[in-house]
Amino acid sequence: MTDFSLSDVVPPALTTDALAGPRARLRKEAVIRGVFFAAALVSVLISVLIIFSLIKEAWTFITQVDWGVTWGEVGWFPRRGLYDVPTLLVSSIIVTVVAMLVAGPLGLGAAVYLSEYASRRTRAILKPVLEVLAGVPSVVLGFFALFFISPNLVEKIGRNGWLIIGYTITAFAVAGVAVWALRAWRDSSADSVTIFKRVIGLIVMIALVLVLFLWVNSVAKDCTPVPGDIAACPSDSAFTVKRSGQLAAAAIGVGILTIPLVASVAEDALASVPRQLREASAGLGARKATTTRQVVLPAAVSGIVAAFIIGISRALGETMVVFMAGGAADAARFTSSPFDGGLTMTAGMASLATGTDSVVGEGLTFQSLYFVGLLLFLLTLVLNVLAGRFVARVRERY
Amino acid sequence: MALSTLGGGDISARVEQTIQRRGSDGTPLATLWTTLAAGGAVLAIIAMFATWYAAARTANALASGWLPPFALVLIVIAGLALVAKQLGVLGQGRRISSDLFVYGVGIISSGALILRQVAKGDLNNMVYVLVLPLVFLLVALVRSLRNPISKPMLELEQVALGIASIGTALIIVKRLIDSEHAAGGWVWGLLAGLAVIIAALVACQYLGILSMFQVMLFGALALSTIILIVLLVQVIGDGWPVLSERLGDFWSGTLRSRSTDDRLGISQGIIGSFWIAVFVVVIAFPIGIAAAVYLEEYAPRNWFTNVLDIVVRNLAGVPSVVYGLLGLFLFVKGTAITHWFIDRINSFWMSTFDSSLIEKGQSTLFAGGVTLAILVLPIVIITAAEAVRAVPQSLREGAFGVGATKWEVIRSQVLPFAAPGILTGTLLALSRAVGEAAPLILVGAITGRLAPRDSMFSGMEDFLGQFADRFTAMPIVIVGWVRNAGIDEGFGPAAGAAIVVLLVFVIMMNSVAVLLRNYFEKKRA
Amino acid sequence: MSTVTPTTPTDTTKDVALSIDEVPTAKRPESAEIVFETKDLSVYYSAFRAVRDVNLDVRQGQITALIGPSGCGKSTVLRSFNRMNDLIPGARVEGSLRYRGIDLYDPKVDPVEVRRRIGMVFQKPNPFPKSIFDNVAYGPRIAGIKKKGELTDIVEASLQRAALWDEVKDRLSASATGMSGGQQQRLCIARAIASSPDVLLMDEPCSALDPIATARIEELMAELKHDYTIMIVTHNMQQAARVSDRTAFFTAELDSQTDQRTGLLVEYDATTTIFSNPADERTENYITGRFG
Repeated sequence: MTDFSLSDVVPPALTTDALAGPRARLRKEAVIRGVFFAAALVSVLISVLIIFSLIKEAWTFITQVDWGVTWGEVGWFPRRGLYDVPTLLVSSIIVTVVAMLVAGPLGLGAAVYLSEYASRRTRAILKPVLEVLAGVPSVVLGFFALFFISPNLVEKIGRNGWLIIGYTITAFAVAGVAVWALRAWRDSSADSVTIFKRVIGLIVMIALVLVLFLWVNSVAKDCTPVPGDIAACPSDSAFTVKRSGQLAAAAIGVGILTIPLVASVAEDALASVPRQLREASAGLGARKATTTRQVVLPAAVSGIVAAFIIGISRALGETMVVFMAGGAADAARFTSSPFDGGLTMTAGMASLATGTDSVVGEGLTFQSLYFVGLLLFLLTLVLNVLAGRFVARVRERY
Repeated sequence: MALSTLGGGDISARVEQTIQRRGSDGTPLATLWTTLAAGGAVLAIIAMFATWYAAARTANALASGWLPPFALVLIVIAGLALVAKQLGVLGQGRRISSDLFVYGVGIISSGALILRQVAKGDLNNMVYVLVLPLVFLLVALVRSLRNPISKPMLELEQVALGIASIGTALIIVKRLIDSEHAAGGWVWGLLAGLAVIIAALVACQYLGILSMFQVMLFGALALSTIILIVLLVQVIGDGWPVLSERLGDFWSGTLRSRSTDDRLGISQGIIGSFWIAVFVVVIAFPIGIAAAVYLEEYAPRNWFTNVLDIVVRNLAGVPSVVYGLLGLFLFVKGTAITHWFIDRINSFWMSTFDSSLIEKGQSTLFAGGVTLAILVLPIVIITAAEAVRAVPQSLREGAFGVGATKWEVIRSQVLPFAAPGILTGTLLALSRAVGEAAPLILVGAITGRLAPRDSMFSGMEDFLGQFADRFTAMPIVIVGWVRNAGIDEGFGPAAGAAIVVLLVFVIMMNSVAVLLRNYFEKKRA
Repeated sequence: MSTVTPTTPTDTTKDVALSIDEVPTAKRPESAEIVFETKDLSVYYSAFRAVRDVNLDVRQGQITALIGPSGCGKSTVLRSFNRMNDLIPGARVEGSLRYRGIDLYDPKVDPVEVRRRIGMVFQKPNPFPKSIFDNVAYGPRIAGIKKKGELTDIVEASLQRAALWDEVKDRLSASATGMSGGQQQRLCIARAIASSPDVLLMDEPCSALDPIATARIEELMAELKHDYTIMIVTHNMQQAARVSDRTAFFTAELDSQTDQRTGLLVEYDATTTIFSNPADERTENYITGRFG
């Protein structure tokens, strides 16, 4: 037992206290942890404050308002005490729907292309496009919507939409007839009876198309434009309209804003589809398009739905574009036409607060602000929770 | 089958069905594509003629002479050839002669139109848009000649061709829409635009490299790109004159009631946005990063942590106006409780700095800054949490193994490793905060005339006093001017100029953030 | 904490396994001081019992190896010796684990203190993304040693001890991640040694390394056992036979009640006994390669 060279190194007999560590250090660690915990609690505090502020003021509104003025009224005139909620709600819905018509296909298409088809070089060049678009502030889009989209797109299309649709349908009808005719002509197995029937059929179809074409033309010519009714029939000459903006213009702007968001969530969803599924499909001899359509997209569908819902939530919550380009200033009449000016819930709230630096108006004007805010908050909360469920579903599957 | 073992039983069945369907002719899918292709070609033909006709009626420069109709006739023939090819009338398979034909015709006609304008000395004509497709047709022709077995074009060429075609179409559309004298001409112009787009799609389909599906997808991406480009061009174009004429004055000017006022400018907006950025950095970043560290490093896996997580995510999805409502409630209007808090803060501030920080019942810079900090906080938390989550566990274990405390591990390993990601996230959050307007409007930022402060630097009292004063910010300035543009047209370009300034900052910050992220990703790999 | 005496390893030949009679009494396993003692130790991850009923004693100055097929809780047991399992939420321990007589899982015990005395080297080398110097100096720094001179001495001594000094002495400020796998693992050993621990736990330290690097680390272990008590988990039976003084063989069995595979200690004895004359049939099956 004497040759031990370890004796110098053996530490003295241990006690539990020796292993307990210096109290100062433990206290310091606890304090640090407490600080971090407090920081995390701030977010809870903020949520509570938001809900509290909304409910407190909205409650005043709910208990004191004459509910008759909140439904079926002329419009949203808060400073005069007319709080027609459907005006705001319907306008919000119109804007959201049109915005998603823009953002949905474009965002999803871009995401699918970037995720499935783009080479690394293309990706490196074009993905930044989406990222730049995501960084553009909403006021810029409002400017763009008011000064570009509104006069160039919406005003023109709004007045002549039916004409465009009519002519395009005619053109495709002509094409369809032509294709059918050519195919029938190439079909050498037909006997004379069939050929005869086909010729008759062809003549009938051409006649129908001609009728369609003439009808579209006549509708275009005979209509007298009704002053003030923007979506009336087409006119021969374009008359100048004062730049005021429409819901549709604002909605397209909101849609453009939402494209990057939809694209990024959709891309995440597509990326979470495991490579093995794609490889399996390719291994069976499917082309890229088939693999994408039949395998990848169905697998990522939860995430894509989540992307849409998140896009809807964002479109609902967007304020500035509608505020600047929506075509209504302080108040709005009820309308269900996208070519008209209007106020969404968000723009309505913002317009209440502008002009002066305090919200003035008779009676419950200030409280109406919070009532609408509460509605908006609840709506977006429900949407976000729903989207979260879908995202969770994607994670579960893979 | 491999697919079904992966749990995609029904998927594999559908894949097989579609594979069997794809090759055969006369199926519904093939007919649909063919109809679309033919319809597009027919539209192209009709539209070309109509465009020429309408343009001729308005003495458009494009119309005079024999060349344009000749070129257009050539294009029509090419279109017909396309259709025939598509329907298999001209025979199956690809042949160099038909490739040459289509390319050659396109090159000759667009080349002729361009040369004609050049010869006339008219350099400011829309025709020059045709240069882009011309270049790519040339490239495609050369490649087609060098490779008898035509190899697909480089994807980027396809990209460029697609963008060029769509861009050309849209410009034609815009040009024709603007020609208000053409009798119904703009309608034809719109159809022409549609037709060119579809013709481009058909061409890609014809070239056999891309499927319609892929092209449509790409079209979505291309359209987004074009929208962005148009947006930037239009905005910058509107604002450029103001900037180039009087950049210095614009920078130092203030809010005025008339757009022709020489002293109109954005200085107050810049100052306001600057202070808001400071508030965000000072308030939201530390709290946000700390909260993220707690959520990822300290928090136990219980229900409360789940609740915290949900709360943060939902806060990130709350519309920005609602934060404005909160700011309005807390700092401007307030209730008894908040007034008490404000009084406490004010008395503390007063004793230190001898001026008040918040004014009750009035919009203040403080209110705006704190509101935006609150808005941005959830974003900071989420991005910082992601960055922290990405730190490899082996790093932590290595440090723990040597006897480091939790805080030491976080300080010496986790935070340094996560720093680039956190930095990126915070930069993005900052650029978001600078661009937000809705909450500021609610809190009462000034959009109209704002009396300028003498100077930010004319003394400590003045410096500190601005927090309790009314304020404005860049986005608000823009909104105000845009709203006034209906009455006083000059405010439009001024707003455009302000937007340019704002965009420069925001895009710069975003680009720096993205570049940083890419740089560190590369370094780590 | 005692300081490490720098020694230059001149003789790097492996320790040749001595027969039990040639070992001087002082080095006989049975007479060395007990460092760890476990009694019916079970480790749980939430409801899942990863390993049960572990009874072993680890003695000073020896290398104790834990061997067995995968999934039988060897790493879990090892990690419980320095409270690393605390990092996993839901992990808990039943039974007793004593370190030099102290209950390691006493509520008063601070895991940080434990880990400063019981160091660990991990399966995959995990150097910090810092310089070589800063990696080794990390432990001493958090222990409060700030003076550059002292740190330099400690770093040099540790790197010498880990047989890495000659290779890196000219580039101490280079990044640690630029080294080969074998060098990184030796760095991690140096890093662990720099805190002057009492015990070194090594969780499959060579499994991510090539045979040459493995051999060097095994040489190192033979050197280090003069100053540290070493416990090693290994999949490599031959390594255990080469390097260790005592060996514990684990296996996993299906628990009929819970329907889970739970690890358990089958046999624990001197290495020579385990490998030449095991008492349990399962041990013999594993040794002779009939399973695992």
